[in-house]
Amino acid sequence: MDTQKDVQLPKQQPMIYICGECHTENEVKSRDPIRYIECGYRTMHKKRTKRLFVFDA
Amino acid sequence: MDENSLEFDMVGIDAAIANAFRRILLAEVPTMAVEKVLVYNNTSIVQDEILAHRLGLIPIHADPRLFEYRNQGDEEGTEIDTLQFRLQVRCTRNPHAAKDSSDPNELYVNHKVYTRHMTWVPLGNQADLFPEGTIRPVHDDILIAQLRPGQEVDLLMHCVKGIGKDHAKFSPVATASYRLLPDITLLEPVEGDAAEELSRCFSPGVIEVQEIQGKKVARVANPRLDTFSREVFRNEKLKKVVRLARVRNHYIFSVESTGVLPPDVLVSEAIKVLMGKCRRFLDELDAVQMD
Repeated sequence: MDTQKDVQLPKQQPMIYICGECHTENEVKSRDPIRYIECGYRTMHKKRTKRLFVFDA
Repeated sequence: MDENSLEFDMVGIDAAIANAFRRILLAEVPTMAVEKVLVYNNTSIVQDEILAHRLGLIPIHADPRLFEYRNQGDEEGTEIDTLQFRLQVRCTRNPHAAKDSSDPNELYVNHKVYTRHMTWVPLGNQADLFPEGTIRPVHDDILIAQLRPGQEVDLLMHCVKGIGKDHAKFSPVATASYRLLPDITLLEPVEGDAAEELSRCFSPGVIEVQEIQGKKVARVANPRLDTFSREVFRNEKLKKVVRLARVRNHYIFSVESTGVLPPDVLVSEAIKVLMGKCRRFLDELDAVQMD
């Protein structure tokens, strides 16, 4: 039952990528062509991690 | 003296003592400054570590005498040694902007992150000890970063007490310095046009030209104002007439505070630090003698 839950959770979160040209977010589902509709750019960037970083000032 | 800078004289002390005060004001009077930055999200152009460095340099308006130093190895910090600030700004496009505008102030909302966006997060009983609005950055118009639509800065800052010796961000003075009182003597009386010429060789107010019995005579009025440009030595006639020196034990201190504490308080704190050092040294000597 645990493995079932694990497989389901990541599928429910849509993967949001950022267009390389105009930096707007758009959702890309698996097996979709990598192309931004608005400006036709074919480079996508992943969003910054939600992990916490601690820096010394 | 105005609210952030102070000029005072110390007469009759040795150079080592005057220098000790200057060094202590710069490096050993404590203040509170941002030490740890917990970045939850930073999608701005400014890199995390650069942003953290800038935040560390922001002067924090909190009396360091009311706080203690953080213990070594203590990562979390307690309410007696830590101040917490939150900075959370998100830039969006302004829907009401004119079509052909190119002014970022019109096009974007929250595109400049200032120190006024920093909010204080009271820990423990700090809310009772410090009234609203007393714990804040000294200036609220320091530009930290610039954003464009979609970019966000979301972080938490921990401020601790420290001294300038550890990191210059902890220095409470926007420099403290001293100079010696100039000592200007006229070796012969200077009269007539030479008197006017002499007064022009020094800063205004140093040399006063008086009319005595129809003749113009030069007199040293206020040597304190002189900036020691030594212009008089470029003048062939007058350079033999003037002797320029310094009063060896008259120190004119100038202290400018960053705004954390008033400058007169900083001087008294520096004196307390020096007294503490002397006390510690005397105790060490007594302990050695007893052996």
